[in-house]
Amino acid sequence: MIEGPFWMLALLLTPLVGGGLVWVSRTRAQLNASAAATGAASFGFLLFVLDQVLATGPTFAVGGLLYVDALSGLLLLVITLVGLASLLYSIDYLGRSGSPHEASVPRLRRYYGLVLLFLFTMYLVSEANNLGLLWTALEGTTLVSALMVGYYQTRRALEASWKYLILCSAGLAFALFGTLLLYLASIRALGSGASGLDWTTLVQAGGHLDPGLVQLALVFLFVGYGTKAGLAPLHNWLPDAHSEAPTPVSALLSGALLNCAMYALIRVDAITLRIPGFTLTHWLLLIFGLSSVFVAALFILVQHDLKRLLAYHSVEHMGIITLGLAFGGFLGVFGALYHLLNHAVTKAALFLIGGNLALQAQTKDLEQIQGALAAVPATAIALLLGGLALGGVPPFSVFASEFVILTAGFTDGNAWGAILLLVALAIVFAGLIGHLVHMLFGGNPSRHYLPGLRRAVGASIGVGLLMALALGLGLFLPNPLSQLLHGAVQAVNG
Amino acid sequence: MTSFATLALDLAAASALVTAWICLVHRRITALVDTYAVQSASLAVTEGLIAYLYSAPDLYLLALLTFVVNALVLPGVLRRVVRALRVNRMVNTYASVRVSALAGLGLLLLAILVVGPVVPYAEVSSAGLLPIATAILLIGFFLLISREKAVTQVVGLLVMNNGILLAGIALTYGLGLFVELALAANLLVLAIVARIFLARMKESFDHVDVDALRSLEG
Repeated sequence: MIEGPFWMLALLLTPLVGGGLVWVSRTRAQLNASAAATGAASFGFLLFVLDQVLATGPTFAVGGLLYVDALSGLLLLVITLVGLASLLYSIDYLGRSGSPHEASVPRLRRYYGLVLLFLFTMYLVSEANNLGLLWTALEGTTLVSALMVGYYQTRRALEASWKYLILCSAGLAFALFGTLLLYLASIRALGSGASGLDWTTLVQAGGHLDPGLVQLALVFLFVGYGTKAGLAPLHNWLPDAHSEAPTPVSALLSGALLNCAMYALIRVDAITLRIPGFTLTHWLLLIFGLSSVFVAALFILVQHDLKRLLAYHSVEHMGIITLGLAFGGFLGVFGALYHLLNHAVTKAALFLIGGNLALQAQTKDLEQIQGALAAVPATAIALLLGGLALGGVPPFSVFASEFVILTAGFTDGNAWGAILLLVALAIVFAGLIGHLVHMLFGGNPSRHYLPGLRRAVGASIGVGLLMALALGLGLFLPNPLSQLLHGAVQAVNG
Repeated sequence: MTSFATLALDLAAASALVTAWICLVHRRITALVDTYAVQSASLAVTEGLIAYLYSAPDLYLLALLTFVVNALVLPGVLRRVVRALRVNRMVNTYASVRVSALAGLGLLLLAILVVGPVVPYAEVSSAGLLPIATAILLIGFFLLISREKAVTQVVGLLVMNNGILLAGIALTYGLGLFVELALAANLLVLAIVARIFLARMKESFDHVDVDALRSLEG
């Protein structure tokens, strides 16, 4: 077995190598094969990375600039799963000739190139130990994904991507300012050294950091990374960007990218948990979490666009994860990280399924999508299962993690927070079921439906994989995964 | 010599602040871009003087980098965008010039209130660099949210970045060369991405006012 940083570097560089393959591909078939192979290779390397993390613990690379522990491993897992499914779906959505959004070869090359570059920046977020590098990688994700949101170059897509680019960059500027203040706290506690911005150093410094300085830093960091994670009231850009992007990109934005920003917040949370008597993080998490679930609940009730509906669900679930972190303790953090994984696979699957339904119905307007169950039964049943999973119906995994988070709230003295969360969940559930019933059973199925994706082997494998996890993780948590989650909780709580 | 350099540092930092404020009162885009260039140059001078006063040779390189990227390349890109896309030359605002000017002063006060308690912690405490940097950050943000034109919003973002750069110097002599290089690279990519977008907007709408972007609500 290979020791040291080999596997984590291999995983990090795979999307770049894949991007190189895409660059030299001449035909449509070569492009699709390069993309699929990159997704599969990433998955292979990921298994070795996770195996190493579980067997030997955290690994450093490039002189401590990069670092992989169980928490990074969890994020790498999420990115790789959603990335693989999105790449496979892309082949049927716009990659093959005759696919519904068939792209010309140059456009397809650019599309795959951007997706793979996007995956690279997200891997860099997961593996960055230096908080400055983490910030740079997150800004990189914004720049790359903004180009993908504007892929269709329609008026609406351009509006959405510009808003996304400007608001997230401005938000991240505040996060950088917060990072600076954190660095100052580190220098004051440890003296100036090159490693003062490393997460591993900051976590160890914990109790020596000046609480006043960290509080100021925290406010800026929350505003910055909270914007990027789509937490209300900083979520304004999110429904636009997620709904105007091409479907596989929506799945990546919602399933993978939001979690990268949430991961940055979790790393910051972990640092402040080491400071005795430091409560500001708890309150910020609680306030942002509650406002996210309630704002999302209201917009879900009145929503009239399928993809925007799913986008507001992302705001809701980011809020739930935030609340889990706020409740804290073993259960709270475990629930939050478990929910991060469950939401990622469920929501990515739903975006992909919803994208196919929108193709078949030729609209994203919830008013106009009716009687889908009779017209396109396969898609409709997938949508129903995905919707129930997202709404937190047992035995799906989202239910399991929401249950853990609520338990944490009730047992660790945050009963009011847990009760408010329950209220929001009830509103969201009612809204979601209303929309589902309308889409599947409502009206008469006279509306003309198109076939949607045809001979969609890749898309079926991608969606099937995600849906199997959305269900399976609720029934049974395999031992390695359970170990990974426990390790990640330990990285946060110490 | 040292006392002269200290005085010069005060002046350069003040110039960075005042030019940020002047960005708020311009009505013409080209003038706004020029002011941003002057602001970046003031920042580069500030960095050079700190390098001299505090014997931090790394900062000379950072000063050079700031001058080349922020004062020369980025304004150059923006001017070309304005010319090539024939952007309407006037800055349209949601907030009037008078309100913007007052807001700028208010943000300076806010910055002093927020970071005042932290000032004694800074490595470079002269010239109230930290409150100035924070004020520049906030003024840049105000510029970004109160202006209609896409080009103006980019300038707002760049002004914010200048504020952060100055804060980095004031607090810690910068974040280390590696991170600084990464930041500069980020700014360049941002400029390229913005350029691509503006060209597409021009193609699609025949103008680059963000005001026309109103179709996504709710």
